[in-house]
Amino acid sequence: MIDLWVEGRVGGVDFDLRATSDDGPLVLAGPNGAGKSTLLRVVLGLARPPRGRVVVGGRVLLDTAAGVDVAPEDRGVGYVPQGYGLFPHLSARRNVEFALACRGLDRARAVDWLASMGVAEVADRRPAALSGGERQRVALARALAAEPVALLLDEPLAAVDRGTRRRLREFLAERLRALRLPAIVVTHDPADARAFGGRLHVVEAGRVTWDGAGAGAATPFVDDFFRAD
Amino acid sequence: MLRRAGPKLLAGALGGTLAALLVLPIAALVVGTDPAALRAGLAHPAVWPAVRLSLLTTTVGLLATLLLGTPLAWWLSRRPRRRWFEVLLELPIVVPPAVVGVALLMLFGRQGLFGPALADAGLRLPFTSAAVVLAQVVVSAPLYVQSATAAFRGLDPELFAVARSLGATPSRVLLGVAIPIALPALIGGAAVAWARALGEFGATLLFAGNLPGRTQTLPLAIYTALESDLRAAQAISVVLLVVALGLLLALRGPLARGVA
Repeated sequence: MIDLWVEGRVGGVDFDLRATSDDGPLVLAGPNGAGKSTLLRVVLGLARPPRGRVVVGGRVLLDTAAGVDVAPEDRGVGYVPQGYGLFPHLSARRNVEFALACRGLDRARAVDWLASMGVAEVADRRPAALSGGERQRVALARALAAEPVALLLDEPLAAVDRGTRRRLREFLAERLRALRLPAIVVTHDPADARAFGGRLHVVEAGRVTWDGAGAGAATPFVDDFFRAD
Repeated sequence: MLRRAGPKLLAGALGGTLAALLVLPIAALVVGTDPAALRAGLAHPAVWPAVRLSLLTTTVGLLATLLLGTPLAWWLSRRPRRRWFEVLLELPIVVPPAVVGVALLMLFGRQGLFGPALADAGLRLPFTSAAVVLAQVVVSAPLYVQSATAAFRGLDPELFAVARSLGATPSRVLLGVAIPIALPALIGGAAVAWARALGEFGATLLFAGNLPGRTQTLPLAIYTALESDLRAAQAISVVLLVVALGLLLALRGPLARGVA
C-alpha cells in the first residue's frame, strides 16, 4: 500500500498531488519536468515538501503535520534510478555487499542475491563491463539485498535496447508480483504501465491529471500517452 | 601549402620561445651541476636540516589539508554554488604569498588578533615550525579544496541517493562512495597542493622567519645559501627538482592510471 500527499514547492515544481495504490505498484507517467523524479526523492527522504504525507506499507515515513520525517537511510525504501546507479568502482558482488553491510547483513549472501536475479556469473565484473540488462538485474539484486519495505523504479526500461526491453519488462513485472512489495514505477511507456499492473497516475506540473479511475481531464499528454500504445 | 606556411611558422616560433623558456633554465641547472659540485653542495650544513624540515612540515600540512579539506570540499559540492564563499576560500591562491605572511602575523602575531589569547595560553606561533606548516597549509590547501570540490561535483548524485536508500549514513556515503570514486582527482589535487607547499617561500619567510633547523625550509635554504655558497644553492635546487619530477611522473604515470 502506498499513499502520497505532496503540497507546495519542491525541486522547482509546485505540487498539489495525491496518489494512492492499494494493490500492485503505483505507476507514474508524465512529461519531463512534471515532478515524477522529485516525487521519488520525496519518498526516499531526499527532498522535503512544505506539506505532505508519505505512507508506504503501513509505515508513515513523512508527515509534516505530525512532525514525522524518517531519515533516508532508515526508510527501507529500495531505489533503482534511471541509469541504475551502480557504484562504478565496485564489482557487481561488491555492489550488493555494500547494501548488505549497510544493513548489517551477512555479506556472503551477495552471490545468492545475484543468482536470484540470474546474474551470478557476472559477480566479479564492474558495471562498465555489464550489458544494460545485466546492470538492471544487479541493481535490483542490490536494492532487494537491503531487504526494503518498498521499491522505487525510475524508468526501469529506458536505458535498454528494444529487444531486451520486452524480456526485461516481463521479468520485472513477474518479480514485482512475486515480491508483493509496495512499489512505485515511473515510466514513459504505456506498455510498461499495463505490464506492471497496479494503478497508473499521470502527473503533470505537480498534479495528477489522470488516475486510472477514469476521472481526470483529457490533457494532450494523456491523449498522446494512450495513443502511443 | 605556401599560404599556410607563414602562420604555422609564426605559431611555431611563438610556442617554441615559451617552450624553450620553460625547459632551458631547468636544463641549465642540471647541466651546470656536475656530480662533484653536487656532493660538495650537499655537504653544506644547511642542506639536510632543511630537507628534513621540508619533508616534515609538508607531510603534516598535507595530512591536515586532506583531513580538513575533504569534508569542506564535500560540503561545498553538495550545496548550490555560493560563488562569493568559494572566491573567498580561493583568495590565498591569487594573493601574493608575502601578503599571506603579513596577514598571518596580523592574526597570530604578538600584536595580532589572536596574539593576546595565544600569549595567555603560553603559546607562541610565529617563528616556529608550526608557523611553517600553517603558512604552507594556507597557501596550498585552497588548491586541494578547489579540485576536490570540482571532483565531487562531477559525480552522479544518483549514486548518493542510492547509497542512502540502501541504508548508508551521510558519512558512509562520503567514505564508501564519493571518496573512492573521486580518488584519482583527489590524489591529483593533493599532489598539486603538496608541490605548492614544498615551494612555499614568501609567507613562510614573513610569518615563520628563516631559522636553520626550525623554520628554514628548502626554498629558504636556497635563498640563504645563494648569498654565500652558490654550489649549495645549486645542490638544493637539484634535490627539489628531483623531488618535483618524481611527483610529476607519479601523477602522470602508474599511480594516476592505477586508481582511475
